[in-house]
Amino acid sequence: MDKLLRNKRTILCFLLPGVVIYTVSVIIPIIWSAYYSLVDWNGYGEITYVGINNFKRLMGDTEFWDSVVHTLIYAIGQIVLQIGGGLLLAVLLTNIVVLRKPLQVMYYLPVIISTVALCQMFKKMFGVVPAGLVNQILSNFNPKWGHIEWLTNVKSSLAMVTAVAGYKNMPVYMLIFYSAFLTVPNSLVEAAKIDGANSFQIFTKIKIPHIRPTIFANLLLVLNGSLRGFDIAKLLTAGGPINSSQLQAMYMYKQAFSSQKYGYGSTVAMFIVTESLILAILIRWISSSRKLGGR
Amino acid sequence: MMKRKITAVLTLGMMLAVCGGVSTAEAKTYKVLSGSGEGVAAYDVFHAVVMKYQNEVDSDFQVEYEVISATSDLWQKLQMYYTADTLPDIFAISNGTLAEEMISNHKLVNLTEILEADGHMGDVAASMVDYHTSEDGMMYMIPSTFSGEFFVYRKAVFEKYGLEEPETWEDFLEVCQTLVDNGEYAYVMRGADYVQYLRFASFPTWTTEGREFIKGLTSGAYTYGESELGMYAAELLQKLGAGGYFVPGFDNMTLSDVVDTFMSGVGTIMYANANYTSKLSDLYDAGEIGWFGIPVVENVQGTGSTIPTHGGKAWAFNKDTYDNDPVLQDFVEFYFDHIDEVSYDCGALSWYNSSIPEGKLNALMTDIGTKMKEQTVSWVSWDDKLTAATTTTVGDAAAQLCYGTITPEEYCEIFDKALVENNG
Repeated sequence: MDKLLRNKRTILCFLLPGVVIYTVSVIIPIIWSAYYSLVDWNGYGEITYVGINNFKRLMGDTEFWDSVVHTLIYAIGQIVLQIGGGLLLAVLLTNIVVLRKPLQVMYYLPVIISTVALCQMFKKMFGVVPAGLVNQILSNFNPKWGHIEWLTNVKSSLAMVTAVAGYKNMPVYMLIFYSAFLTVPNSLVEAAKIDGANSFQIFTKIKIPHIRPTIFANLLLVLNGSLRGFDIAKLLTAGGPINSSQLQAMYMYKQAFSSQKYGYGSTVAMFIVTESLILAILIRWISSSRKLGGR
Repeated sequence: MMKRKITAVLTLGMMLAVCGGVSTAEAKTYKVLSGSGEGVAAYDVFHAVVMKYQNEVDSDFQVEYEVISATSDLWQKLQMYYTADTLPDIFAISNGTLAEEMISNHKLVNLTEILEADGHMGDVAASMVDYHTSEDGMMYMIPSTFSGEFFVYRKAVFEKYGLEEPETWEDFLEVCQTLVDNGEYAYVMRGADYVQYLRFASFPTWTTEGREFIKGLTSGAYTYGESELGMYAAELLQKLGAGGYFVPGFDNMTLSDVVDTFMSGVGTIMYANANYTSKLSDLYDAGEIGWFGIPVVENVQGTGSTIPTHGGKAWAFNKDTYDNDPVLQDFVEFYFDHIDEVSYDCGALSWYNSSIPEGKLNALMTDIGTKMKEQTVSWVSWDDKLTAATTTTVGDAAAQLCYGTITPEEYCEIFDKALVENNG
């Protein structure tokens, strides 16, 4: 068996399907996109080569940069909610003895509910006219609060999108962290206790360092997902009002499909790919740096 | 012996497969790309004609539907089919740049020639001819429904404040102001997409000049900013937004949200189309709601048409299939012979010029439909005439104008810049 697994052909056989699928579904589309980013094309007419003009235009496109800022705010929000919230819920779960299983299922519910249904639910809950559940409750305290526009106010729409996306995905990371906490050797915790460490110290000095690789892996996943954030913003606020919750992936879609500017849309796509790559490298570098105890 | 048996069974199987293959090739299944599914008039009427044809002419006539209800997804799919040269046999389409491209490449059947040969050209309602006639004076698509748009209002609220149905935009603004001053929600606005914004931005130009305004604009005869009508429309949009006439939370409302909100008793005026008449008919029969057409610009001669009529997502036939297929040719002829009666049988307004048979449609649809058939100028949708990029830019700017983040002058500037940058 060992001999077989050391055989280069065997290794190639195992690797090839994955490499082929990845190349066809990721690498080739990126190369294709890179080509389209250098042309002007509406999807069916003549394709005109424009060189780096699309990239020049991108640099001065204020709507695009607004969407980048929105995406960064959204990403920070996702890190706080998904990593922070997920970690918190995992800690709670590991410390709760009674009702752990039902709570686990309950926390996981948002992941099971379809995104469309979840967004519809939040739209109804935070509706203004007719008043949704939240405004109805608030109006009991102050009639004016019954008219708060949660989703259609330029100041709160992005926060709402961030909150709903965080709520939807937080349980995934909760489960990952929960599983990671279970791998912390009991002997380490017991030894720390004997040495006089309290619960907080055990958490910060023993458990967190032990699951650090998981934290960084999750961070990478959350950041990557956030930079490509689209569905919840599209379904909940459609990027509005007046583009106040428009994320960069939505802007790419708007340019490529609504405006039928496939070339310019591909330029935005290339920006997102580059941005994701840089952030991924950065996180890998930070996670493996000696300062943080990496190897 | 066993081998022989197996060989015999395999041979028989192969022969059956070959025979089956021949029979499948004979009974062609026509591919239909539809913009609506069951329960929507456009689909129901088309399907009823197909069923009638199967029952009366050719029981082997088979169609296979691909339904894409979301408009933008539908046009993207159609564009994809066109680019890949795999257009369906019959498909939903709209006026616009893609249709023009297909016409110039001889991909669509010239339906004017067929309607004339069948003696039905004179039967088509005037505004539907106007709506579907392309630049070369021919129709390459036919309506899927005869649709019209109108404002609906609550009669009791209007009576309470002594308000009349507005005939001009000045009246409309006054009505809205009175309602807001009295603590009423004036207008239930569809703000989730740019459609209603662009409607308001184009109403004054449409009631005054029909399709001439946008034609002049795209041909470069004048700029939006230079045009008095353009500036009037921009100022109207700004006044509507600044006046606080729209219900709170309108920015997230789709057309069905608007209708549901209005039906739940909130808001005084809304904009609806003929598809919603069945939903509204009980309120109309009870005398609770009334309707009015598009207000006009005060003291300016208009076209006389005040109900925007259009043919929904139109039907077109693939020329490559049609030219080589007598069955499809026969079906198209049958379609034109029976569309009038089938439409009414399905409870939909026919796009032929016939009078509406008694008891076939509800009272609201009958009243609006009668008026629709009198219209001579059809609705002019800007997204048909402008490029997709310009429409998106102008739609965004119209929303900003409503929110008061840009001025009418800036809106005009954005409009003109988009026209130049996107070639129309």
